[in-house]
Amino acid sequence: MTSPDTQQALIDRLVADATPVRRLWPPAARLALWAALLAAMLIAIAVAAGWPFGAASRAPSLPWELVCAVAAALLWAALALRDAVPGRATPRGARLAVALLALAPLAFWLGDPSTQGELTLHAFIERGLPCTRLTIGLALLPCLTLLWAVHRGAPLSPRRAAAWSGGAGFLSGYLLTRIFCPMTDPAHLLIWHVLPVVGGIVVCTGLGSWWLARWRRRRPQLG
Amino acid sequence: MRAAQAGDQAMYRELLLDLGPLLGRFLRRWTNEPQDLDDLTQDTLIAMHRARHTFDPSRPLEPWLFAIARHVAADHLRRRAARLAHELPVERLPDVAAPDQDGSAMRGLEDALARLPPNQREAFELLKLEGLSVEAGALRAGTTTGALKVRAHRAYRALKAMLRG
Repeated sequence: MTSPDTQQALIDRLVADATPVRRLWPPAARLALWAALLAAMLIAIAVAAGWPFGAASRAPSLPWELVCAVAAALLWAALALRDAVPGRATPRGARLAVALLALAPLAFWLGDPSTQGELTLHAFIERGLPCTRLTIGLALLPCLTLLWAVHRGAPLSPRRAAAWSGGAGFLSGYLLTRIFCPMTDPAHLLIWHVLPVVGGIVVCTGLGSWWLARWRRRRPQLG
Repeated sequence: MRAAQAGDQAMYRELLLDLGPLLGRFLRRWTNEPQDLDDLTQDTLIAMHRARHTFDPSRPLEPWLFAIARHVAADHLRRRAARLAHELPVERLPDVAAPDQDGSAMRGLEDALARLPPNQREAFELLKLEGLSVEAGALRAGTTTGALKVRAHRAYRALKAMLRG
Protein backbone atom coordinates (compact mmCIF):
# COMPACT_ATOMS: atom_id res chain seq x y z
CA MET A 1 0.00 0.00 0.00
CA THR A 2 1.44 3.37 -0.95
CA SER A 3 1.73 6.25 1.49
CA PRO A 4 -1.16 8.35 0.14
CA ASP A 5 -3.35 5.21 0.27
CA THR A 6 -2.37 4.59 3.86
CA GLN A 7 -3.06 8.20 4.81
CA GLN A 8 -6.39 8.13 3.01
CA ALA A 9 -7.36 4.93 4.83
CA LEU A 10 -6.40 6.55 8.12
CA ILE A 11 -8.44 9.65 7.36
CA ASP A 12 -11.44 7.45 6.47
CA ARG A 13 -11.06 5.71 9.81
CA LEU A 14 -10.77 8.97 11.77
CA VAL A 15 -13.76 10.50 10.00
CA ALA A 16 -15.83 7.39 10.74
CA ASP A 17 -14.90 7.81 14.40
CA ALA A 18 -15.72 11.54 14.47
CA THR A 19 -18.67 11.49 16.83
CA PRO A 20 -19.59 14.77 18.57
CA VAL A 21 -17.33 15.51 21.54
CA ARG A 22 -17.97 17.56 24.66
CA ARG A 23 -15.54 20.44 24.53
CA LEU A 24 -13.19 20.86 27.47
CA TRP A 25 -13.85 23.95 29.58
CA PRO A 26 -11.12 26.60 29.50
CA PRO A 27 -8.37 26.12 32.13
CA ALA A 28 -9.49 29.28 34.00
CA ALA A 29 -13.04 27.95 34.49
CA ARG A 30 -11.76 24.59 35.63
CA LEU A 31 -9.30 26.27 37.99
CA ALA A 32 -12.17 28.31 39.48
CA LEU A 33 -14.04 25.08 40.26
CA TRP A 34 -11.00 23.53 41.87
CA ALA A 35 -10.37 26.73 43.86
CA ALA A 36 -13.99 26.58 45.07
CA LEU A 37 -13.38 23.03 46.33
CA LEU A 38 -10.21 24.15 48.12
CA ALA A 39 -12.01 27.17 49.60
CA ALA A 40 -14.83 24.94 50.89
CA MET A 41 -12.32 22.61 52.55
CA LEU A 42 -10.42 25.58 53.96
CA ILE A 43 -13.57 27.13 55.45
CA ALA A 44 -14.74 23.80 56.89
CA ILE A 45 -11.37 23.18 58.54
CA ALA A 46 -11.01 26.76 59.77
CA VAL A 47 -14.46 26.61 61.35
CA ALA A 48 -13.65 23.23 62.92
CA ALA A 49 -10.33 24.50 64.28
CA GLY A 50 -11.71 27.84 65.55
CA TRP A 51 -9.63 31.01 65.82
CA PRO A 52 -6.82 31.30 66.76
CA PHE A 53 -5.83 28.30 64.66
CA GLY A 54 -3.44 25.78 66.22
CA ALA A 55 -0.12 27.49 65.76
CA ALA A 56 -1.48 30.99 65.18
CA SER A 57 -1.30 31.85 68.87
CA ARG A 58 2.41 31.01 68.89
CA ALA A 59 3.33 31.91 65.30
CA PRO A 60 1.96 35.31 64.32
CA SER A 61 3.16 34.82 60.75
CA LEU A 62 0.88 31.79 60.21
CA PRO A 63 -1.75 33.71 58.18
CA TRP A 64 0.97 34.86 55.78
CA GLU A 65 2.34 31.35 55.55
CA LEU A 66 -1.14 30.11 54.69
CA VAL A 67 -1.59 32.83 52.06
CA CYS A 68 1.69 31.75 50.42
CA ALA A 69 0.65 28.10 50.50
CA VAL A 70 -2.77 28.91 48.96
CA ALA A 71 -1.10 30.97 46.22
CA ALA A 72 1.39 28.19 45.49
CA ALA A 73 -1.35 25.52 45.41
CA LEU A 74 -3.50 27.60 43.05
CA LEU A 75 -0.60 28.33 40.72
CA TRP A 76 0.49 24.69 40.64
CA ALA A 77 -3.11 23.71 39.86
CA ALA A 78 -3.25 26.35 37.11
CA LEU A 79 -0.12 24.93 35.51
CA ALA A 80 -1.53 21.38 35.71
CA LEU A 81 -4.76 22.45 34.00
CA ARG A 82 -2.91 24.41 31.33
CA ASP A 83 -0.67 21.42 30.67
CA ALA A 84 -3.81 19.41 29.87
CA VAL A 85 -4.45 21.52 26.76
CA PRO A 86 -1.98 21.25 23.84
CA GLY A 87 -0.35 24.56 23.02
CA ARG A 88 -1.21 26.14 26.38
CA ALA A 89 1.79 24.93 28.42
CA THR A 90 3.47 27.65 30.46
CA PRO A 91 6.97 28.87 29.49
CA ARG A 92 9.92 27.34 31.32
CA GLY A 93 10.85 30.49 33.29
CA ALA A 94 7.34 30.91 34.68
CA ARG A 95 7.23 27.21 35.56
CA LEU A 96 10.45 27.53 37.51
CA ALA A 97 9.16 30.61 39.38
CA VAL A 98 5.92 28.82 40.31
CA ALA A 99 7.82 25.71 41.39
CA LEU A 100 10.01 27.82 43.68
CA LEU A 101 6.96 29.56 45.15
CA ALA A 102 6.12 26.27 46.86
CA LEU A 103 9.16 26.87 49.07
CA ALA A 104 7.86 30.26 50.27
CA PRO A 105 5.84 28.90 53.24
CA LEU A 106 9.07 27.41 54.60
CA ALA A 107 10.60 30.87 54.88
CA PHE A 108 8.24 31.67 57.76
CA TRP A 109 9.62 29.02 60.13
CA LEU A 110 12.74 27.37 58.68
CA GLY A 111 15.13 29.73 60.46
CA ASP A 112 13.33 29.60 63.84
CA PRO A 113 15.17 28.02 66.78
CA SER A 114 14.10 24.50 67.73
CA THR A 115 11.74 24.28 70.68
CA GLN A 116 11.66 20.51 70.92
CA GLY A 117 15.16 19.80 72.21
CA GLU A 118 13.84 18.13 75.32
CA LEU A 119 11.50 15.74 73.45
CA THR A 120 12.32 12.04 73.32
CA LEU A 121 12.32 10.34 69.94
CA HIS A 122 9.18 8.46 70.89
CA ALA A 123 7.34 11.68 71.76
CA PHE A 124 8.64 13.33 68.59
CA ILE A 125 7.19 10.51 66.49
CA GLU A 126 3.99 10.36 68.50
CA ARG A 127 3.34 14.05 67.93
CA GLY A 128 4.36 13.94 64.28
CA LEU A 129 2.54 10.94 62.85
CA PRO A 130 -0.98 12.41 63.16
CA CYS A 131 0.21 15.47 61.20
CA THR A 132 1.54 13.27 58.39
CA ARG A 133 -1.66 11.25 58.30
CA LEU A 134 -3.72 14.43 58.22
CA THR A 135 -1.58 16.00 55.49
CA ILE A 136 -1.95 12.92 53.29
CA GLY A 137 -5.64 12.48 54.07
CA LEU A 138 -6.53 16.08 53.35
CA ALA A 139 -4.42 16.12 50.18
CA LEU A 140 -6.24 13.20 48.59
CA LEU A 141 -9.43 14.96 47.52
CA PRO A 142 -7.80 18.03 45.91
CA CYS A 143 -5.10 15.85 44.36
CA LEU A 144 -7.46 13.28 42.86
CA THR A 145 -9.96 15.85 41.58
CA LEU A 146 -7.17 17.73 39.88
CA LEU A 147 -5.71 14.58 38.35
CA TRP A 148 -9.16 13.68 37.08
CA ALA A 149 -9.59 17.18 35.61
CA VAL A 150 -6.22 16.95 33.86
CA HIS A 151 -7.04 13.45 32.65
CA ARG A 152 -10.11 14.87 30.86
CA GLY A 153 -7.72 16.85 28.66
CA ALA A 154 -4.75 15.73 26.60
CA PRO A 155 -1.56 16.41 28.57
CA LEU A 156 1.40 16.29 26.22
CA SER A 157 3.77 15.94 29.16
CA PRO A 158 1.94 13.56 31.51
CA ARG A 159 4.78 13.44 34.03
CA ARG A 160 4.90 17.21 34.38
CA ALA A 161 1.12 17.50 34.60
CA ALA A 162 1.05 14.77 37.25
CA ALA A 163 3.77 16.56 39.23
CA TRP A 164 1.84 19.85 39.16
CA SER A 165 -1.36 18.06 40.19
CA GLY A 166 0.37 16.23 43.03
CA GLY A 167 2.06 19.44 44.13
CA ALA A 168 -1.20 21.40 44.18
CA GLY A 169 -2.97 18.60 46.05
CA PHE A 170 -0.27 18.10 48.67
CA LEU A 171 0.30 21.82 49.16
CA SER A 172 -3.42 21.95 49.93
CA GLY A 173 -2.91 19.13 52.42
CA TYR A 174 -0.03 21.05 53.96
CA LEU A 175 -1.96 24.26 54.45
CA LEU A 176 -5.08 22.52 55.77
CA THR A 177 -3.00 20.59 58.30
CA ARG A 178 -1.16 23.74 59.38
CA ILE A 179 -4.49 25.20 60.47
CA PHE A 180 -4.86 22.36 62.96
CA CYS A 181 -1.29 21.74 64.05
CA PRO A 182 -0.18 23.76 67.11
CA MET A 183 3.54 22.99 66.58
CA THR A 184 5.99 25.68 65.52
CA ASP A 185 9.18 23.64 65.73
CA PRO A 186 11.10 23.57 62.42
CA ALA A 187 12.19 19.91 62.83
CA HIS A 188 8.59 18.83 63.36
CA LEU A 189 7.35 20.85 60.41
CA LEU A 190 10.12 19.69 58.11
CA ILE A 191 9.76 15.98 58.86
CA TRP A 192 6.05 15.56 59.50
CA HIS A 193 4.62 18.28 57.23
CA VAL A 194 7.06 18.96 54.39
CA LEU A 195 8.39 15.44 53.79
CA PRO A 196 4.89 14.01 53.20
CA VAL A 197 4.35 16.75 50.62
CA VAL A 198 7.59 15.85 48.83
CA GLY A 199 6.78 12.13 49.02
CA GLY A 200 3.25 12.77 47.81
CA ILE A 201 4.51 14.69 44.80
CA VAL A 202 6.93 11.89 43.92
CA VAL A 203 4.27 9.17 44.23
CA CYS A 204 1.70 11.25 42.36
CA THR A 205 4.20 11.93 39.56
CA GLY A 206 4.98 8.23 39.20
CA LEU A 207 1.42 6.91 39.24
CA GLY A 208 -0.23 9.94 37.69
CA SER A 209 2.07 10.13 34.69
CA TRP A 210 1.12 6.59 33.68
CA TRP A 211 -2.59 7.37 34.05
CA LEU A 212 -2.42 10.76 32.33
CA ALA A 213 -0.59 9.27 29.34
CA ARG A 214 -3.59 7.08 28.58
CA TRP A 215 -5.24 9.60 26.28
CA ARG A 216 -2.63 8.67 23.63
CA ARG A 217 -3.62 5.00 23.91
CA ARG A 218 -7.41 5.43 24.05
CA ARG A 219 -9.18 2.91 21.90
CA PRO A 220 -11.07 4.61 19.08
CA GLN A 221 -14.84 4.38 19.43
CA LEU A 222 -15.76 2.96 16.08
CA GLY A 223 -19.15 2.30 14.64
CA MET B 1 -12.54 22.26 13.80
CA ARG B 2 -15.60 23.56 15.59
CA ALA B 3 -17.76 21.62 13.08
CA ALA B 4 -15.58 18.54 13.60
CA GLN B 5 -16.13 18.76 17.35
CA ALA B 6 -19.85 18.81 16.66
CA GLY B 7 -19.53 15.59 14.64
CA ASP B 8 -19.69 17.05 11.11
CA GLN B 9 -17.84 14.31 9.25
CA ALA B 10 -17.66 16.06 5.88
CA MET B 11 -16.00 19.13 7.38
CA TYR B 12 -13.70 16.94 9.42
CA ARG B 13 -12.57 15.06 6.31
CA GLU B 14 -11.87 18.37 4.58
CA LEU B 15 -9.89 19.58 7.57
CA LEU B 16 -7.82 16.40 7.80
CA LEU B 17 -7.06 16.50 4.07
CA ASP B 18 -5.96 20.15 4.41
CA LEU B 19 -3.83 19.46 7.45
CA GLY B 20 -1.81 16.62 5.88
CA PRO B 21 0.48 18.83 3.75
CA LEU B 22 0.71 21.50 6.47
CA LEU B 23 1.86 18.90 8.98
CA GLY B 24 4.25 17.39 6.45
CA ARG B 25 5.98 20.77 6.06
CA PHE B 26 6.11 21.37 9.79
CA LEU B 27 7.42 17.88 10.61
CA ARG B 28 10.21 18.16 8.02
CA ARG B 29 12.16 19.98 10.76
CA TRP B 30 12.54 16.67 12.55
CA THR B 31 13.13 14.25 9.72
CA ASN B 32 13.67 14.15 5.99
CA GLU B 33 13.11 10.43 5.59
CA PRO B 34 9.83 9.91 3.71
CA GLN B 35 8.85 6.84 5.75
CA ASP B 36 9.42 8.65 9.05
CA LEU B 37 7.60 11.71 7.75
CA ASP B 38 4.56 9.60 6.82
CA ASP B 39 4.61 7.91 10.21
CA LEU B 40 4.86 11.24 12.01
CA THR B 41 2.06 12.82 9.98
CA GLN B 42 -0.23 9.87 10.64
CA ASP B 43 0.63 9.69 14.33
CA THR B 44 -0.02 13.43 14.63
CA LEU B 45 -3.42 13.07 12.94
CA ILE B 46 -4.31 10.26 15.35
CA ALA B 47 -3.15 12.27 18.39
CA MET B 48 -5.04 15.32 17.11
CA HIS B 49 -8.16 13.19 16.71
CA ARG B 50 -7.89 11.90 20.27
CA ALA B 51 -7.30 15.42 21.62
CA ARG B 52 -9.91 17.19 19.49
CA HIS B 53 -12.14 17.91 22.49
CA THR B 54 -9.38 20.11 23.97
CA PHE B 55 -9.36 22.56 21.07
CA ASP B 56 -10.82 25.96 21.92
CA PRO B 57 -12.44 27.44 18.77
CA SER B 58 -11.86 30.97 20.06
CA ARG B 59 -8.12 30.40 19.64
CA PRO B 60 -6.05 29.79 16.49
CA LEU B 61 -5.61 26.18 15.40
CA GLU B 62 -1.89 26.25 14.61
CA PRO B 63 -0.39 26.51 18.13
CA TRP B 64 -2.63 23.68 19.30
CA LEU B 65 -1.88 21.50 16.30
CA PHE B 66 1.85 22.19 16.21
CA ALA B 67 2.19 21.51 19.94
CA ILE B 68 0.75 18.05 19.31
CA ALA B 69 2.97 17.54 16.25
CA ARG B 70 6.07 18.65 18.17
CA HIS B 71 5.25 16.22 20.96
CA VAL B 72 4.64 13.34 18.55
CA ALA B 73 7.92 14.08 16.75
CA ALA B 74 9.93 14.29 19.97
CA ASP B 75 8.37 11.06 21.17
CA HIS B 76 9.13 9.35 17.87
CA LEU B 77 12.76 10.49 17.87
CA ARG B 78 13.18 9.39 21.48
CA ARG B 79 11.83 5.94 20.67
CA ARG B 80 14.01 5.69 17.58
CA ALA B 81 17.11 6.65 19.57
CA ALA B 82 16.25 4.00 22.16
CA ARG B 83 15.76 1.41 19.41
CA LEU B 84 19.04 2.32 17.69
CA ALA B 85 20.87 1.95 20.98
CA HIS B 86 19.93 -1.73 20.92
CA GLU B 87 20.78 -2.34 17.27
CA LEU B 88 24.19 -3.12 15.82
CA PRO B 89 25.22 -0.84 12.97
CA VAL B 90 26.34 -2.56 9.76
CA GLU B 91 29.07 -1.16 7.57
CA ARG B 92 27.17 -1.63 4.35
CA LEU B 93 23.73 -2.96 3.62
CA PRO B 94 23.48 -5.59 0.87
CA ASP B 95 22.02 -4.16 -2.33
CA VAL B 96 19.78 -7.13 -2.96
CA ALA B 97 17.97 -9.63 -0.83
CA ALA B 98 19.46 -13.06 -0.32
CA PRO B 99 18.76 -15.27 -3.35
CA ASP B 100 15.62 -17.35 -3.23
CA GLN B 101 15.85 -18.80 -6.72
CA ASP B 102 13.25 -21.54 -6.39
CA GLY B 103 10.93 -19.33 -4.30
CA SER B 104 10.85 -21.88 -1.48
CA ALA B 105 11.63 -19.32 1.25
CA MET B 106 8.80 -17.08 0.12
CA ARG B 107 6.40 -20.02 -0.05
CA GLY B 108 7.51 -21.07 3.44
CA LEU B 109 6.78 -17.60 4.77
CA GLU B 110 3.39 -17.52 3.09
CA ASP B 111 2.52 -20.94 4.55
CA ALA B 112 3.65 -19.86 7.98
CA LEU B 113 1.64 -16.64 7.75
CA ALA B 114 -1.45 -18.60 6.72
CA ARG B 115 -1.11 -20.78 9.81
CA LEU B 116 -1.03 -17.80 12.20
CA PRO B 117 -4.21 -16.87 14.12
CA PRO B 118 -6.03 -14.08 12.21
CA ASN B 119 -5.32 -11.31 14.73
CA GLN B 120 -1.59 -12.12 14.82
CA ARG B 121 -1.45 -12.27 11.02
CA GLU B 122 -3.20 -8.93 10.80
CA ALA B 123 -0.73 -7.38 13.28
CA PHE B 124 2.23 -8.71 11.29
CA GLU B 125 0.83 -7.52 7.98
CA LEU B 126 0.01 -4.02 9.26
CA LEU B 127 3.37 -3.43 10.89
CA LYS B 128 5.77 -5.35 8.65
CA LEU B 129 4.18 -5.60 5.23
CA GLU B 130 2.29 -2.31 5.09
CA GLY B 131 4.89 -0.55 7.23
CA LEU B 132 2.38 1.33 9.41
CA SER B 133 3.38 2.81 12.74
CA VAL B 134 2.05 1.03 15.82
CA GLU B 135 -0.48 3.82 16.43
CA ALA B 136 -1.78 3.83 12.88
CA GLY B 137 -1.82 0.02 12.83
CA ALA B 138 -3.77 -0.10 16.09
CA LEU B 139 -6.31 2.32 14.70
CA ARG B 140 -6.70 0.22 11.56
CA ALA B 141 -7.08 -2.96 13.58
CA GLY B 142 -9.51 -1.27 15.94
CA THR B 143 -7.44 -2.11 19.00
CA THR B 144 -4.97 -0.50 21.39
CA THR B 145 -1.28 -0.01 20.66
CA GLY B 146 -0.37 -2.32 23.54
CA ALA B 147 -2.59 -5.13 22.26
CA LEU B 148 -1.24 -4.74 18.73
CA LYS B 149 2.35 -4.94 19.97
CA VAL B 150 1.56 -8.12 21.91
CA ARG B 151 -0.08 -9.70 18.85
CA ALA B 152 2.85 -8.73 16.64
CA HIS B 153 5.34 -10.09 19.15
CA ARG B 154 3.47 -13.41 19.29
CA ALA B 155 3.37 -13.48 15.50
CA TYR B 156 7.16 -12.98 15.26
CA ARG B 157 7.75 -15.76 17.76
CA ALA B 158 5.40 -18.15 16.04
CA LEU B 159 6.86 -17.35 12.58
CA LYS B 160 10.38 -17.85 13.88
CA ALA B 161 9.48 -21.24 15.32
CA MET B 162 7.66 -22.32 12.15
CA LEU B 163 10.42 -21.17 9.76
CA ARG B 164 13.10 -22.90 11.79
CA GLY B 165 11.23 -26.08 11.23
